[in-house]
Amino acid sequence: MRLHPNKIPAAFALGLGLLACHHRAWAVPQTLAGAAPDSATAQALAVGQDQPKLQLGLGFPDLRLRVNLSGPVDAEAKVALSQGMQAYGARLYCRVFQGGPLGLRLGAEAGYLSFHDVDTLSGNGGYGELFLGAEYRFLKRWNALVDYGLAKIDVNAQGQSLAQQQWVLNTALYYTLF
Amino acid sequence: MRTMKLTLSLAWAALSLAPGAHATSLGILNASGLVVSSLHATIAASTPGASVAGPTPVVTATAVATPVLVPVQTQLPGVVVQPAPNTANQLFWANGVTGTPWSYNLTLVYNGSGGTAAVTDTVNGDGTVLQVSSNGSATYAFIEFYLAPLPLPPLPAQGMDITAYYPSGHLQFDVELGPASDVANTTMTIGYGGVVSGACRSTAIPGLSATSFTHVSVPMTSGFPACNVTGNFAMIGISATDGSGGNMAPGIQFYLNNVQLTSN
Repeated sequence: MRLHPNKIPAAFALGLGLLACHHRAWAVPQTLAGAAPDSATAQALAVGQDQPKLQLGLGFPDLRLRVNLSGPVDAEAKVALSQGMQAYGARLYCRVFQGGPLGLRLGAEAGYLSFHDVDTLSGNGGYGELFLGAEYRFLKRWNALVDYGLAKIDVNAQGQSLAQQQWVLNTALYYTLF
Repeated sequence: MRTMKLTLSLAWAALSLAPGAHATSLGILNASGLVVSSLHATIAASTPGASVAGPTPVVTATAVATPVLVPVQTQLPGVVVQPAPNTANQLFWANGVTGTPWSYNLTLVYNGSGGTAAVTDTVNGDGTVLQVSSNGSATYAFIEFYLAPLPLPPLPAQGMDITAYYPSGHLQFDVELGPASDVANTTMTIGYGGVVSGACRSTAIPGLSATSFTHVSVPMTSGFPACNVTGNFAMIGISATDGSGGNMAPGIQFYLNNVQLTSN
């Protein structure tokens, strides 16, 4: 698959971000080495230990499957379906901060769009989004995620295309499988 | 904590560098729907007479020989362009003919069943009317006029308000209840945008009859509460309900004719 020249800076930035995120996972244990014993759980969460390996998510309105790739980096497959429109996307998350059950997430999402008979138009498109979110573990196996980001959405129909930026608020509940 | 502050700062900086971003959408599908709507408006605005339903530029009455296109309303970010208000009455249905308001092809949706009936409209003498009947024992029936083929897209509210659309206009039609109707307890309501039972429902229409047609003219400024339209497809709905409480009569039926939206 060839990368469009316009997408190279974004891809480069994303790669750099993930590298930095992953690098941080190794740096944090050294930083926290002298922390108080009663914050052991927070430390473990912060460095990517004791993390869910596989989670099933229910968003609004979408289904997600999230896996822990390495350290604080998670990857997710996401399918959103509604009447006339479908979105198939992938997300990458970086756990940039964890304080007890509450965590801060930085991530990116990209995906493919397909729509039929929406405003009488049928076509397809794609989107990319950078987002910042907060995730809260309210039960042992249950997490709630809210993230907010800027998406660039490109749609094509009837030989014409349009790209716009849209702010997107996402919410989801996750169940930890293991 | 320092990492969190740095992250928040970077995120804020990135968000601040986003010119032209629109209002927040809940989920990527909503956001994408808005972009598709914008594309639709762009195509319609740039292609006069195009077959896509939408804000068809209005040809003024004095420009029959050389059409002069009135520009469509300025599109606000995330808001679908409406057909420009004009002085022409928009016919939805009359004497067996389905209208094409603002050049849209209408889709008629019934709760129950419907079709033409050979009944005389005693208001204007038309011989064919639109009959709407409930399903079996249902105590209500309604008809909705959609400005688009179904299914409708799942778009968020667009902020279209008919009171701002035709500020001094009226929704007008002739109506008669079916012969078996519970006249004393049947009320009719009308709505614009959204379903008849939704927030756009008007106040009840009094003075109904099962023996002759009544001409109804509802001013948009008083009969229609301000409401948002869900989706890009404005429509009107006309509903009849038997509201006699525990003795609600089943099998409600009504006839409509000369359904139109007038600009004054």
